[in-house]
Order: sequence, then C-alpha cells, then structure tokens
Amino acid sequence: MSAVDRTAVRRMMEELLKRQGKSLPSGDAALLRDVGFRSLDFAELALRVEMQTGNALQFETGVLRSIQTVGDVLDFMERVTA
Amino acid sequence: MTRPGGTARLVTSRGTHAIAALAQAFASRRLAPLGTPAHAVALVCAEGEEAVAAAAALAATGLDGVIVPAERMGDAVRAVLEAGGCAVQMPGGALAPAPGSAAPAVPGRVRLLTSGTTGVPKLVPHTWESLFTLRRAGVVQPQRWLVTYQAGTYAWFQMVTMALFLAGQDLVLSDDESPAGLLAAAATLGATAISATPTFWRYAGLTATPESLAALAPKQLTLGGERIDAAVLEWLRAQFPNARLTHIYASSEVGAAIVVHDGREGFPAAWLVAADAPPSADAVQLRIEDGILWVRSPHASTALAGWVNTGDRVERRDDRVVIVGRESTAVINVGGMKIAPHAVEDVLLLHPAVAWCRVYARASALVGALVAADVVLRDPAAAGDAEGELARHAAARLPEYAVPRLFRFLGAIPMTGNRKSEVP
Repeated sequence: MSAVDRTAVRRMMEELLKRQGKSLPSGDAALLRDVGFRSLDFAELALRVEMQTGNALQFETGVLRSIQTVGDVLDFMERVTA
Repeated sequence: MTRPGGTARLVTSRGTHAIAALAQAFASRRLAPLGTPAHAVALVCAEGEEAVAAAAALAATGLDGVIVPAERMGDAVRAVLEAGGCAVQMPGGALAPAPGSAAPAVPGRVRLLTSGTTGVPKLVPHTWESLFTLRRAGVVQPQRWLVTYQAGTYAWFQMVTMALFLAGQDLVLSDDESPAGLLAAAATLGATAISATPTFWRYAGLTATPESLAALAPKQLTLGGERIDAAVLEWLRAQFPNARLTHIYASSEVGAAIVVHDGREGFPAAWLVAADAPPSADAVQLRIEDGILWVRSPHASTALAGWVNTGDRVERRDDRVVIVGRESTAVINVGGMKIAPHAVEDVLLLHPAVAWCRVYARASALVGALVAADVVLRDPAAAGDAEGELARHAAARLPEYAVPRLFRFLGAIPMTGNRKSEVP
C-alpha cells in the first residue's frame, strides 16, 4: 500500500472544506467540531484516500470516537495507510 | 392486422422505398436459401435499412427469428443466441447452424434481444400481435417517423410494427446515427415525428445548434425507454410548442403499458386499479404494491401472464404517479439515511451549468455509501470550481447526507447503442 503523507491528507481536507465554504486552520490542534468537519466529511476523506492509494482502509471499532482534532485525522490516515 | 409493409415507405439519403419491396428483396436474398428452417434464425443485419427489411420479411413469412444489428455481435450475444437455440446468419449469408440441442422453431414467434442495460442481454419471446401495441389506436395521423432506436430492441419494434401494420406511418433512417446526425436527417428528410429517449434529447440539447433545432418541425414527439423527468418535458415543450408530446412507459416484458399525452410527468393516479380487479381483455391495468409498479397487460411477452412486477419504484404526487427509479437502485443508503438518486439528479439539473447528470451510490466503509455524481457541463471550458459550486448548490436544497460527495466531470453524455444513459 502506498502511504499518503500528512501534507497530502491536509490538502484533501482543505479542499473538502473549501467546497463547503469553510476553511482549515493551520496547525493540528483545532477541534473538528469548531472547524465544521463532520462525520460524513470524514467518510468522504477516507474514500478519497482509498481512491488515491487504491486500497480499502480498515477501521477499528471505536477508534473513530477518539478522533477529535485535525491532528487526530492526519495521524489516523497516516497510520491506516502506512 | 393488415398485410405487413402494405404501403409504408422507408426514407433514407438514398431515396424512398416501399418497405414491402425491400422485404421481398431481403426474403429472396437471405431467407430463400434457408428453405424451411427447423430452428429459429438470428438475422444479423449490417445496417438499419436491412434490419427494417428483415423485420418486414419475418412478419410476412412467419419465420421464427431474431433481428441482431451487426455492431452487437460479439461473444456474449453469440452465446445468448446459441443458448436460445438459434442458427445465426451473417449479413453476407454465411450460416452458423443451431446447436444440436436446439428446440424446434416456433412459427410466428419473434424474439427480442434486450439491450442489457440492467444485466446480461436476454431473448424475450413475442409475437407480431404482442409487439404491435398500437393496434387499438384506431385512425392515426399519417407521420414520417425518425428512427432513433437500435435495431432489434423493443422500442425499435414499436416503430417498425407501426409502419408495417398501421396506415400512413413511414420511417426515416439516418446514415449517421449520432444524435446530431439523426436530427440533421430528420430535418433534411422531412421527419414529422420523433420517438427518442430523454438522454437523446439531453444530448441533442447540448450539441445541436439553435439553427439545427429550428430546422425541425415535428408534429409528434414521443419519449420512452427511460425515466422521464419534468425538466426534459419542459425543455421539449419550450423548444417545440407545436408538437404533441407523448411519453410511454414500456418494457420488453410487459409491452407498452402507459401512454400519456398531456405532457406532464408521470401518469394520472386515476388509472390505478385494485389488486382484486377483474382482468381486462384489452386494457392495460396498473397497481402499486409496496411502492413498486405492477402491470397486467394484454401486450405482455408470451412468456408472461397476469400481474407482472415491473421492478420500477413509483411515488404518488397529488393526482399523479411518478416513476422514480429501479427497485434495486432506487435508494442510496448513507449511514441509514435514504435518498433516491432521481431526487439528487433533479436538484443538479436545476443548475444552469448542468446539461446532464446521473447519481449513484459509491461504497463507503464508514457509512455504507456516499452519493456520487457524473456530470456533463454545458460549457466545460467555463467549469472553474464546478465541484464546489455544485456541492454548495446541492447543499442549499438537500439534506446533508444527500449532497454528492464525489463528482466526475465527463466530456460527453455516455449513451448505450439504444440512446439510453449508461449505467455506472
């Protein structure tokens, strides 16, 4: 599987939010609920990452609940595509 | 039924010919060498004129046959024909005999090779009687019909049986079978009626010049073959205010079940009957069960009798019943929230930049499915941030789960050989 680096995932997040008229703050600390990044946005991002890598991502039950910040999303995508 | 091909004419760029004469020539060239075939014969036809002649010859002789346009011949279709017990005759006359296990020919049977839009092509048995759904139409205005459908399909047989068995119905064929070519032929060869799919008209609306549309003077426009939405009806009404607008709901299996002349989407709810209504010998009957349209039709394939589940999902809207999609693909389930693709398509089509679209489910590990859309823009050069623009347009009109998450922008409207939208 080809890994997708944090910069690429951040760019995808940025574009996804931009299409909704929202913006992504710099840094990793921003809370997803403050950014307006919702569960369907996460599902879209995961699908786009899958399309980029050509592989289906494996999701562990419960892990998604621990994703609160922009940095959590980037860490998660980095980990599941590594 | 009157004598097949009695007076109807076929109009092409090469001139106007009596269909009966073309049928006779075809019968001498292709059917006479076969003698009395023991099995059904698939007649592979090189072009449209030959296919019309072949159909008229089959109708006149009662031979058990299938009409197959040469462009459809491939391994899959060959296998279907073989499994159906057919000998296959190529345009030059070469004959592949029927398999040893083939059942004997059934005189008067004509089988349709379905387009395979919803799966593997199959052979659907009919008779000339069951194909001729307009036999109760009474006296109809003479028309010169542009044939836009692929030879051998149900819609094409509607055109051909109309010409063969109804007085005054001529057919116009175009050498160039692209929508633009077909419309040009309609103008130069004087077609007064056009029967086509909504996809055909969307494509035409996108590619035809205002001059080429203005060159048309149809008195009758008939839509069928796909779900017919209000937008395409409105466009046609505005473009051709002097034409009568008819839409037909039909399938190879149940025959032409619903014919609507008022130009409004769907059909009147007053046409529905109760499940226990007594059968009718001459009228099509319709009912809804669990949101699915059921039809009992005297025009049904000879393989079917009684109530038939069409697999088409319908909705009651005031005094109308509207067909909204196929049962299996009628809803996209996004994390438990359901949305019909047509509802999203109708919203996207409201955007002035969108010429055509289709909406479908894209599998998602997290939520089951996300909504995806293929779109053709009116002006691809002016696309800009079309993805964002359409996402925001949809978000302003639909619930969050129904907003397309993935867009694919296509250079042209994808069409099957029978001018329907391709299924992704």
